Amino acid sequence: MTVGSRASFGRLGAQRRAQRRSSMWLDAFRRLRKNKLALAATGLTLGLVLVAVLAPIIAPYPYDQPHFGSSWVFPFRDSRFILGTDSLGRDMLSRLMYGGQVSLLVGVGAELISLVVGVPLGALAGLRGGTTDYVICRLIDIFSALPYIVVVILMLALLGPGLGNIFIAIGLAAWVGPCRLIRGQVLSVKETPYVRAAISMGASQRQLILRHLIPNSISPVIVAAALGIPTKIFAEAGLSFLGLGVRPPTPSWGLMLGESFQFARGYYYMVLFPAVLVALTMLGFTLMGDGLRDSLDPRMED
Amino acid sequence: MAHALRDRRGPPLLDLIDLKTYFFTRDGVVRAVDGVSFQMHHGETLGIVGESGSGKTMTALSIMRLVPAPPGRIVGGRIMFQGNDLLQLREAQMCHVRGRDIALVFQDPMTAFDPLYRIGEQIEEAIEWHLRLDRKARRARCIAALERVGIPAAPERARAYPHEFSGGMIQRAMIAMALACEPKLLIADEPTTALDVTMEAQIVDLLRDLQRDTGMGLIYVTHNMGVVARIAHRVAVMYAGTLVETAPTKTLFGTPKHPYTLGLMRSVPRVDGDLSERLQAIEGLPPDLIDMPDACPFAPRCPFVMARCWDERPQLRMVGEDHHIACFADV
Repeated sequence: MTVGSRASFGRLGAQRRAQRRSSMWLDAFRRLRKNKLALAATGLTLGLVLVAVLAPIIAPYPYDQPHFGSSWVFPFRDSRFILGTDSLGRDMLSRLMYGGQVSLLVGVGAELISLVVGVPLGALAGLRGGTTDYVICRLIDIFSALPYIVVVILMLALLGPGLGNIFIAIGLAAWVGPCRLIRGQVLSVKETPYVRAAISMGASQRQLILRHLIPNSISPVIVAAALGIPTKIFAEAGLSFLGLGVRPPTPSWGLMLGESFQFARGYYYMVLFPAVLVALTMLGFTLMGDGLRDSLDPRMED
Repeated sequence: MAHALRDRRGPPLLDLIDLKTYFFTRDGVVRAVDGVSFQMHHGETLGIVGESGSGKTMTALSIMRLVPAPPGRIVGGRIMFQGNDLLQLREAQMCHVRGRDIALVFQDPMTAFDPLYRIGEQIEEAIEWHLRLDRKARRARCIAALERVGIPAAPERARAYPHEFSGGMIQRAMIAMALACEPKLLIADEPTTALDVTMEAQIVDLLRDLQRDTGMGLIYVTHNMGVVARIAHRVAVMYAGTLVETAPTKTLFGTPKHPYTLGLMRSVPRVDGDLSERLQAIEGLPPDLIDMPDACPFAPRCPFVMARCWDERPQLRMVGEDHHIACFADV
């Protein structure tokens, strides 16, 4: 820390900026801007999202339009179908674009639901302690003991099919992770002298949570969320593979993977493209999460 | 008993009367502070010494009404601060006493600041809350406080984050924060335990100078006799939740009267002493504070123990000018 202070001395002197209340978020933003890798990852992720959102406009064909007579076209062979066609002669490029809609929506939506359920419960358990903590912890134990995919299938069986129900099921089954994370964080931050000092000066519960507890507990949750989005995309892929996910002909990357798996030997591209897209999404969200975490922590500077 | 302690130097800044702080645990009642009384005057530095678990930190926290509750509770006594009993205040009023009238310097400065906010912001926050100054005045006061504790380039350093400070510097920043609202009483609870000896000496000198310049009262809690000798005007020695001896620093170090204090003095190495001599330890261990009998808590370890010591608890009695001990024996 002494070494770091020497180095930051000149820099701090150089940038004489007015500091406001929100300086924590301003500083975080400034640090994020300096992180090239995180910026690139954000660009990649935004690009993927943009293509998925704009699919109805930019896709060359509707996702379910078959071209009989031009099935099993390999990529880069036919100028009409740049990325080739599948067994029914549907354009791969169009299906990948539309598939992104479902996959990204499920990934982000399910992750948000697991956060919306898990974070407040975990914070409550950590903050209140006692009986509240006990009850929530036993709930966590119960959910951890059940295999994830079984819980999802059970919930889908109860809720019925549909895109909304898919991410509710996937999200609800995954609330345990963020819940446990934030509980641990809150427990340790709650005991720090600066939180106690704030309490002793009469800070309200709301101030405590907003000013100290959340900012100091959130970074592992952000990383976990970024890493969780790809898992949710995979979960949807698994469900679609089992016939519980989106219904054909609606494409999703996972469904496309599942459908084409049997042809993988002969028609590698049908597996390759959706797999690469899932991998890129994972990379984008992971690096973005890393960058976000680093920028939220002033100690990560330099 | 409390009356025996009063003297004639005007109304005291702090008058602790028979303070009792107990912890109600599953294993029984721990009497962490068991009937402690002392007085402090404006411009005085009181050193509270004692070993770990002797109740010195709990005494300090009780004055701030910061005893962790549950399981702790202040069960008796009065804490008269400038003539008002702090124990009678509502919690909302107490929030304004803490930090403005009485400030506390923690043991571990590294964790006392929120790592996500700049040092200046955190100091200004305290000023804003207590004094309701506008932004400019707040900033000026914050910088002045940092300068007063010897932080170079204070305006720049105010914009640094806690992790950019070294251990000694962050303790200085914390003292600056404590002093920013000009408290009448500063409680320093082992402020140098996290620091090396060189930094310790600097911080102790800094606190002594600040105390002299501002005329505030200072309670310095430590287990380091050397530090106490350096900073305190008067010393209170604690043992097992009770005050066993209090005297002006010179008197205490020159002619200690309580057997426990005597034992402490013998167990501290002296630069001018005979270095070939072995240090003498006090035999035995401090007592378990759960369900203490009505006896002198030091009796099991005391070389001067008498039959009476096992039957009743000795009260503070005067043995010299401003010098009190809780002991039956005349040592």
